[in-house]
Amino acid sequence: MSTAARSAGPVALTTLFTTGLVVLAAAFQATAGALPFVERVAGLALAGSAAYLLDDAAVQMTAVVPQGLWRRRAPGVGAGVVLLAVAWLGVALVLQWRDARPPLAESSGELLVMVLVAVAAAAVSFRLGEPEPGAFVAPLLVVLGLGVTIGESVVGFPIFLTGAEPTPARFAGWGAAGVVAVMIIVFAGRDGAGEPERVMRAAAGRV
Amino acid sequence: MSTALAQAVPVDERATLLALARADARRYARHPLFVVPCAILVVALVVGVAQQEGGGTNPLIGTMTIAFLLGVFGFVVAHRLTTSLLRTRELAGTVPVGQQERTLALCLACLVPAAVGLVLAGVIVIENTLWPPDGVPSDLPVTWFGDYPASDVIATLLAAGPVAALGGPLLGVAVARWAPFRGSALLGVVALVVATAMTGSDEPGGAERMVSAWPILVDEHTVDDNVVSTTFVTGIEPLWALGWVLCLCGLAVVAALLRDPGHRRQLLVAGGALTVAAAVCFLLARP
Repeated sequence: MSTAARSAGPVALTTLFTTGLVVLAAAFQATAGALPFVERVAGLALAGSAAYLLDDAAVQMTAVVPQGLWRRRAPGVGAGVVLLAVAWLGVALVLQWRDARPPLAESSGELLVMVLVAVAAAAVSFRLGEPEPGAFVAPLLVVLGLGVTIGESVVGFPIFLTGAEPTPARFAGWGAAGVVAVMIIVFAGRDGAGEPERVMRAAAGRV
Repeated sequence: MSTALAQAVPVDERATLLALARADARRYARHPLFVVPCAILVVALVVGVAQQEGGGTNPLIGTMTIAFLLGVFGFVVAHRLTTSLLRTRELAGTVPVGQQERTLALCLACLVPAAVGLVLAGVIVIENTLWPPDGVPSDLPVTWFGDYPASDVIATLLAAGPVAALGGPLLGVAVARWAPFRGSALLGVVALVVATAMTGSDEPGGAERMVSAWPILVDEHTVDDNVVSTTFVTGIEPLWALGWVLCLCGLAVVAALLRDPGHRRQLLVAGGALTVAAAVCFLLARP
């Protein structure tokens, strides 16, 4: 199995499963009232699945190849991003069919930030030595997101951009979260390698 | 030689199982996704006592928090603990017990969140005794003693709280045993939550809610977005609903244990009996 296929495998599975669930929920009139909630869960699931994109079970082997970290990850991340975008489009189309589609810009922005947060958390976990951070980060993001969803309804303080009239403060908050996530990804995803090149140079020197 | 030694030292299977269960219970109790939700529940408890409000117009609202923070989070915890045995197969393989015993020990460890849920259910009772809930105005009913039979209140309190805190983790063990692939924890959580939301979304609540593994037995009635009263869902008997969710918990254990070849006959008999019991509870819950 190629690295890209192994990294993007759980994303493909999640996109299929999530889109299927949304279609199922939309197909039954009795559950139409739950569609905004199902859309929220679908967004969380898709975002959470992005954490699997950094998994590398064979990191001890792959860390010594000459390619940099992100060069190795690029095929899997690229495939995953395409899958997530297509799945999100599918979910939006299904929700539009039932007149339950949330504002596209806001909900897509939410999804983007949540994907960045998932990847940032996975990058930190990977940096700390967990070769497959997705197994923990992905479900964690979903349950935390659900917790926030329940919390905002109990406290009466909206946090997500969709579901309540968005305010500049909330836009700023989500934007800041996205920027911080990108900074963490860049910092935690540094080629701690330089390693491969160093290893190769040292090997060449010995020969 | 080794055969002779093995025969000479009888293995106390029960003691081994209990030792394993205690070890798994400690692992469960130390897991961050159990510790943090417990901390949140304690904070909510302290705030509730400080505000001296009890459950207000919905005295059973606390069960939702228990079910989510201990049940849904518990699914992830139990799934992680179960798959961790597979990730460390070399180490786990050195323990002289079978995979089925290890699975049973994990199922027993799921009593940890159930016990916490039971304590919290007790706290809900104490809070609402100290500060009795009431409708707005007070002639409107609330789902508590006095307005409804005690059996209905207690059954709902247990089914929606402690039993949910047990069922989520047990389902996590079963899913991890049968589907230990990457992504199964994520898909399991999503399926669990969406299935509950879909069956609980009918307005007003009807007997269809019994299809859910966490039947929503209470309906809130609002005026201007404020809950003024709560009633039990018409068409569902809470006592039989409690039986239904307990049977589902038992079936989750049987399903998890059936992953391995041992005791197949006894497990199939137990599974059959539980299925019949679940079907009876399901039918009787919808009079």
